[in-house]
Amino acid sequence: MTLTDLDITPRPRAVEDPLMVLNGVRQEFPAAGGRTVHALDGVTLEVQRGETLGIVGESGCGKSTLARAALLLRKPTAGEIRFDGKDALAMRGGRLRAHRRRAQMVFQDPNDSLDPRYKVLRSVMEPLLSAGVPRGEARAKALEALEAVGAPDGAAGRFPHEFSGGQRQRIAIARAIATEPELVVLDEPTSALDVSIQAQILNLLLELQESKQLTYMFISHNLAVIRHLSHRVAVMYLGRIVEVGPASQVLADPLHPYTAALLSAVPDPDAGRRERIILQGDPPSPTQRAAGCAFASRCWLATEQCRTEAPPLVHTDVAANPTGGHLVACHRPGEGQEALRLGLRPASSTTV
Amino acid sequence: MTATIATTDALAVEDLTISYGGGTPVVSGVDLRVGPGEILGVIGESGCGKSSIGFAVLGLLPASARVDADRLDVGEHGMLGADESDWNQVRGRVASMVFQEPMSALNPCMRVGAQIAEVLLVHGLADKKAAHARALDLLRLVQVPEPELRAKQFPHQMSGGMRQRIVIAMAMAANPQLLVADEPTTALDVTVQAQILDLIDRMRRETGAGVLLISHDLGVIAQTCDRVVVMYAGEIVEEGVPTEVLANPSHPYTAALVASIPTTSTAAREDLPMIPGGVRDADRETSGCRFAARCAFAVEACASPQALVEVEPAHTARCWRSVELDLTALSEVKA
Repeated sequence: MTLTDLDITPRPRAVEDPLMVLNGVRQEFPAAGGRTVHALDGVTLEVQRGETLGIVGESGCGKSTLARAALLLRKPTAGEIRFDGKDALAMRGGRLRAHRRRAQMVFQDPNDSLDPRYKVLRSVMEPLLSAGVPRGEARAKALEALEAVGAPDGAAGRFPHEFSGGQRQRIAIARAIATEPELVVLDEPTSALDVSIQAQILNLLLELQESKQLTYMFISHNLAVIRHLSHRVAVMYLGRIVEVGPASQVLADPLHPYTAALLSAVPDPDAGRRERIILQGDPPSPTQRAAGCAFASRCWLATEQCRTEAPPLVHTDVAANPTGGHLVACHRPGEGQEALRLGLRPASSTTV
Repeated sequence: MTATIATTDALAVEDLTISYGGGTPVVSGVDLRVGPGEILGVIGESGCGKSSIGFAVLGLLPASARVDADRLDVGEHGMLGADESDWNQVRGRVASMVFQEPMSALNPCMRVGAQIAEVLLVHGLADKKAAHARALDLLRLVQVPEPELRAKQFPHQMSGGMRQRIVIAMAMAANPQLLVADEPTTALDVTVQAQILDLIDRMRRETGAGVLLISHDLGVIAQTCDRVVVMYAGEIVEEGVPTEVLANPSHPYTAALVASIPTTSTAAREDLPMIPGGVRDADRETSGCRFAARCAFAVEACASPQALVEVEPAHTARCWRSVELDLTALSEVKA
């Protein structure tokens, strides 16, 4: 079967029509002692065409599981995923293989997508070949992608170990864009790089997004990098989206106390020493599914209601938030940030 | 814990040069001073020599490393030419270390309480019973909840943040004068990083230990340190108070480094200023400025040797043009 046998031509794009919709996606894994890890605990999210959707959260919050679900690498336990209006979870066989061409991934460690025994060209061609592109065309597209990312001359004929970490990440990006995907999921793509190299890769990602009209799902624990790249941001905690909205709103005026704490914990070279919210303890185990708000055990604002009743992800004050699209799952939205702004110390804050 | 506020410096290093296997020095001509209770930050990118410095001041470099210096004092101990048995007297007692990955410093087969007590037993600072009691005190000091229970656990039963607290408890067990922390929070989440930085800050205030904090993260340095040295290709290129050095850099490398990082004041989705190229071996061998090949402001005279010169009180930079250059333009790109 070749590509032309399958209908993968993108439909004309309606502006309001999101590229991907996740609806109530749950991902459970069996854990020791008969327990269950709730890695994704009912995630509902839209990815708009041409945007960068930043996904923020700490270790174990489910952000990498979310990436794998979005790429259809593992079938979710429950929920719905629609890609370009179609039921993505219903795809099988050749149709699924052809779909893979439209959604690609860049990992934190470029070595995860580059086989050390293969010359660069072969690694970059691989996703094209597996999507059924004829060899000659795949070769041309791979070389084109390597040029687009600014890989050094002659890179195609060399091995990954001959390149620096930054160059290897460029090559991994070439591999991801070679199939001319619509969606690229970037999982911590600059976390292993020095800051001056990070700037080069971030600039490249911005440039590629413009020139190739890519949609990015950008996963990072680094809020500064998220802020720099994202149009919208979703904040995850313990398998749930606790806040989502335009980057300028979520990162400047967070409504969820966890977002406020996360933002205040990031040391900012511009700010020096300042008031911070220091959360006590670690996130609870994802095997213990909270009855109420997942963050309640570490939240300084938590009430009895927070511990027993899970807050839905909803629009808050529409009057104060006329542009809409800023959603939060909190019974006391905005109070965490308000306290910080007024200089009121939450019980767990200190100045360092 | 009884706070003994030392009067001697925690660390005094002069003209430190380190090379491996007879190659080009990875660190050259470095002077460092860490006062009691002070946190000195060392910042730089991969290969700038910052970790080699951390290992050198604890005598932990491999046998193939050659260390030359005019002075290497750890507390009141002169360690120039010290042999392994001299270092064994100092390590863990006068100076100790916290690594990036806590698991690399912990014995996976030993209960954490016993591991902390072991530090005191090895140095003959306590008998078995006293060492065990002190281990519980130390767990309380580093704010480990339920210390009696935790002392009986193994490292794998703990989170990354909790393990790093255990490592810090071990490092502080003998009440050292110097704590070397090499990327202590790089492997941790930001909310846990905030807890650990807070803990290190409290430790030095309560015990008077000086801290050498090695990091690649400008934010961590700005938040935590009293002074900072910026390293490039094995040399110190700038030194001063973090807020001053990062807000008002006087060396083109520092300015370019600061400008290349997105922060709260960076314009979103605009190109970040980049530093072209990378560090080459030849840059470490030149007698002139090592950054010249990548510097936007380099002129012919930059090929001659550069000294660290004072640009303001307590702020030095290794750039003869630092006074005439206006580097604020680089940082203004961000605003």
